Order: sequence, then C-alpha cells, then structure tokens
Amino acid sequence: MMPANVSAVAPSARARLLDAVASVLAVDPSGLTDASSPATIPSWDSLNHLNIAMAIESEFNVTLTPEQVMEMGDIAGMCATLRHHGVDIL
Amino acid sequence: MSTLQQILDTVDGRPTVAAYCAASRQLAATAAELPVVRIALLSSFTIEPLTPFLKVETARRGWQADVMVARFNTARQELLDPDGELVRFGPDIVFVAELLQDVCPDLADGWAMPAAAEIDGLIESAVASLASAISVFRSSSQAPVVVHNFALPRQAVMGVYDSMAESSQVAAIQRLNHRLGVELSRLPGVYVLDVALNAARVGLDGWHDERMWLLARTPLSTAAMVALARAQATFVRLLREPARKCLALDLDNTLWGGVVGDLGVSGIALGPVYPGNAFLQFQQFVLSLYHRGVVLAALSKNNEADVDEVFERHPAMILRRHHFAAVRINWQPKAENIREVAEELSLGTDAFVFFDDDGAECAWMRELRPEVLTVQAPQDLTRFKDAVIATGAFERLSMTAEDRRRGEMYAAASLRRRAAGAARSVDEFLESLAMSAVVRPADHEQLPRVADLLAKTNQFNMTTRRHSVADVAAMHASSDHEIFTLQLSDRFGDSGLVGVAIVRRDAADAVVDSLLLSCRVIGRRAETALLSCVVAWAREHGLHRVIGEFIPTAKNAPAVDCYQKHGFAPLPADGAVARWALAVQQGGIAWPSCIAVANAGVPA
Repeated sequence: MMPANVSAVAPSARARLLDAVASVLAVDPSGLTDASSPATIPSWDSLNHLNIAMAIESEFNVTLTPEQVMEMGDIAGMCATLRHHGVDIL
Repeated sequence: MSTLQQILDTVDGRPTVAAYCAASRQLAATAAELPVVRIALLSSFTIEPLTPFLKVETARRGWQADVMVARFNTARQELLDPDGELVRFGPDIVFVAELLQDVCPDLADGWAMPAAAEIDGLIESAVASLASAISVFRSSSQAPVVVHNFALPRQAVMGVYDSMAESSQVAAIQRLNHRLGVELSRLPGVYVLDVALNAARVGLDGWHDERMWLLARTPLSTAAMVALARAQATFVRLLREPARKCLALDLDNTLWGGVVGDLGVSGIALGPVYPGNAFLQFQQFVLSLYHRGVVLAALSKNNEADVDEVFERHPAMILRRHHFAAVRINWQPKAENIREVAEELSLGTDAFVFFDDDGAECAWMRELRPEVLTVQAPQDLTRFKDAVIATGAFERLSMTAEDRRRGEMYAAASLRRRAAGAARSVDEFLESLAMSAVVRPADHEQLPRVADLLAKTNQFNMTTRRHSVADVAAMHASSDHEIFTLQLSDRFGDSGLVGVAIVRRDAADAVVDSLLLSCRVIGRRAETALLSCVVAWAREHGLHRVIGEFIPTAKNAPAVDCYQKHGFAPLPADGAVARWALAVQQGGIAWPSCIAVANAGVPA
C-alpha cells in the first residue's frame, strides 16, 4: 500500500480518489485502503455512495453508468472502474 | 484553521460534491460566530445531498444554516400537520421543493396534449392545492415559505412540434410558473424561487441527472445544487436582513476608463467601441438600479472641476449629476466620505454597497467600515455588472411604487439641500420648494406602506409604536380609528407617502396613537398639515379634545416639542408617556401656508 500523497507537486490519481472519498465520508484519507467499503465505514451509506460517485465524476471528468455506480463497492472497485475510463491509477 | 474566505475560494475553484462536503464541515469551526438561521427543506424527492451546498452558500451570505430535511416525499404532510416534525423544528424559513411530476403530473411526462381549457384547469388546481396547504401551515407558524417553481423539460413530449402546438407543454409549464408566483405571493410571507430561470442559466442538459434520479430519486446535478443553494441563500439574506439601499461608486476606471485628471474629458474611455462601451454598459446597468430605487452616491479622489466637466459635457455619459443623491469629490479617505454621505442621506452605513476598482481603497473600506458591502471591480471590464449582481445586495422580494422611486427621491433631496443653501431664511426656503400635499384617510392600498413607515421611522415618530400590517388592517376596519396619510411633492419631485397619523376615538377625546414623518420630510411643516386634519376630523365628529402622546426613545428627539409648538397644553404623564391636550372647540390648527392643498375635502 502506497502512502496517500506520493508527490507534493501533483497528487497522484490515487491520492485524488482517496481525498474525494474521504471528503464525502468525513474520514481521514490515510485510513482508507483498497478494502474500504460501506461494510467498514459507518458514514458510507447509500446516499453518500452516490455523493462519492458524483465526486469521482467531477474529480476525474468521467461519466459513470448506473451499473458502474452500483458495482464499484469498495476503493479497489473504484480504481478498476477509473482504469476502465483510461485513468492511470494504481 | 481556514478562514471563511479560504473555504469559499476552495469550493469556487473546484465546485464538486467532495469540496462542498469538506467545506461544510470546516464551516462548523469557522462560521461558528455567524448568526444561525433554521432552514427546513420540504421536498418530493431526495433533497439531502443539497444540505452541504446550502450550508456553504448560506455562510457566503453571512449566515450559519441549521438545516432540517423532512422525510422523503412528505412536503404536503408536513405543511398540514400542526404537530409534525416541521412545526416542532421551529423553522425561520421553509423551502418547498417539489417536482412537476408530483405537483401536476399531467403537465410532466404524462402530457397527452390536453385541450387549452383543460390545461388551465390543471394549472389552477395545482396552484390552489399548494396555496391551501401553505394556508394550513400558516395557522401553526409564521415562518416565511419559499416555494420552488418548476424547471422546463429537457425535451418536450411532443418534440420540435411543441413550440408550434396550441397545447404546448412548455408554454403550459411556463404559465403554471407564472400563476404560482402571482397567486402564492398574495399569501402573507410566501415567495417563489425561480427554479426555471436558474435551470435555464445552468443549462437544462446539465441540470437533471437522470441516473441519480433513477438510482436514488435525487434529480439534481452538482451544478444544479450549486445554483439552487445560491438562490436559496439569496432568499435567506433577503428574509433576514434589511436590503441595501445605496450604491457608492468610484468614478475613474469605474464609470469611465482612465483618470480624468490626467487624460482630460476628451481622453477618458467612454463611447461606442471597446473599452469605452464596457463602461457605458455598466452605466446603463447602474441607471437601471436607480430606476429600481437604488440611491446612488459618487466617491472619487479627483478635482471637482474635472468631474463636473465629465458630468456636464461628456456626450456619452449616461449617468448625470442629478442621478446622484450625494457626491464627494475630494482627497479625504473614502471611509470618512461614506460616513458623511450616510449621515447626509439619513441612512446607516450598513445600507451601502461600495464599488471601486482600486484594491487598496477596497481593503481600507473593508477594514474601517466592515458593515459596508465592499465589491472590488473585477479585472475584466465586461463583468462589472455581474460583480454587483452576484452580491444579491439590491434584490427585493417586493417592489412598491415608493421603492422604485427611492433613487429619484433621494437625488431630489440633494437638489433641495442645495436650494436650502441658497435661501436666506427657513420661510423663504420652504416657500421656494413650492410644496403641495394630500392628507386623507388611508385607503386599502396604502396600508402596507403605512405599516412599513411604522416599522422603520425612528426620528420624527411621536410614539414609535410598531404596529404590524395586521394591526394596521384591524385599525383600518375599526370604526374607532382613523388612519391619515400624507403625500408630499415639491418642485424637485414627488416624495410619495411620507406621513401617517393614527387617531383613536376614546369617549370625547381623539387620541393620537401614532404620528410620524419619514426623515425625508422632517422640517417641512408637514406635521402641521397632518395635525390640522386630525383636529378638523375631531371637531367634525363632535369630540372635545385631541390628546397627543410622546414616548421618548434614543432617536426621536426631533419630535419632542411638536405638540407644544402646536398649542397643546401638558397633561400629567402616564408612566413614560408624556401627554398633551388641545381643546378642539376653541379653534383648529391652521394648515401651513408654505404647503399647497392638493386634495379636495381637506379644510384649508
């Protein structure tokens, strides 16, 4: 697992994702891992899941399908979805 | 810890859901000293995601929002339930945000080209149903209610044909919106927020989020939530704070391009080609504010002669000297000038917006007069107007005829003061004004203005009794009361309704419950005209005495000797209330000779 902020100049795609998720959920981004999901974070309810989806769309300038929104069930799933949209994310 | 401005700069740089969520939490620490406003959101859809946006945009307007979101799709139940969550919350403001498909499904996706008469029926019944739910809510709460109107559809059901059809869906929704605004605003404390216009500005394609709608019944895009929260925050400000009244403008590089002292009148940029046309456009906008009742002032570090020459001789100038109620062309600090202007116009400095292109001037004003709303002109000349509009400072929830003419009336007052400087005596000055007045029993249309004066007048106000609109209406209906209004005009303009006397019959006495004059007409003997009519009325009704009352406040010294000056004799005081009496049968009070009688039926 790499640290949240690798570069001080331009944050990595992963750091940007974790920051967006953390902002919506009101948690510390350094506490998020690939396995973070509604099951591990109490504030990750269905409404915040949609907020996360909208936040990801704005952050990476992508448009998610409803299926993608529902299926990206944890951070790893979000990374996979973003890679599918051509985002270079680890 | 970030300052409020830093938090706002962050969301403005990247207005995303994540940024608003983070900002809304940071505000909890930063905006803790802002006054709290309790906001209830009633809706027919999932409106929770709007909450962080609303909190941030309300803080931008100087308020800390305590937001209650009613359970999903319970807007009508909450309005109708006197013991419901809404009433128990005790809101300061209620927003009712319903969707067209819930309020009038036949006009939404259910559109089946109804006949024109049928459309009217659908519209009227939707409006009536909302009005009746709000009326029920009124019996348990006085909180203002702001109803959202409806965005137009991205595509009309009939497609391109809609714009040509007799039964046009788009036209029907526009008519529903118009009827909603007209009918609901007749109810006390009910307003309409124009969602349709906000959606059009953002763009309908970017307003609805079809996926979020189908996944979670939340139809608004991020851009829509930003726009809606801003529109709501504007209502919060308008409902909780008095409106700003005066726009104080810098001149060089604000109303024209360049420094007139350096370039001369012919050298400044003002004319049909850029950049001169950008300044012309801004002047046109300022003139439109003046016509909506905004009082104008000019504050400029300049030689007065140079500025006078621009006002008098520059052929392209749209704004002229007579549009300005006060002008300060000198080398004093502008913070000092604005204080003087406020005093001259009898306005508080908190009624001012200050607009200047110079960063240092703006910083000084913010530092020394934080209550003035200071707006620095943007770098981009074409956006001056947007910068003023974005503050929302001159928005109004209603516009009386008096409001619209305020700019004109204050400017006329400035000419009057110049005339006063030229006159040799008070009598000569008053004669020179060529005043005429109408004093008459108030009619129904005047009651809101009467209540407005009772609420706002501090200086020439004998009793400062703040009767509400409802109180005034009750007195108007009562046979024991008479409400007199005074309208005054002179050679500089019409001041409108500027005086009120409320008289109560008490056995053989006529008791003057309230007697007031707007500060615009103090020292013009208008009170004599009002009292002359009050005494005549008392005599006509066979009453023996007119009783005047005076309740001292921190501000009403200008009225302290009014009854004494009019021949009233002192009575024993009743607590804090000084009382005076005039025996009616011994003679009346003469109408002041400096004011012509403009209405029939008033004893001269």
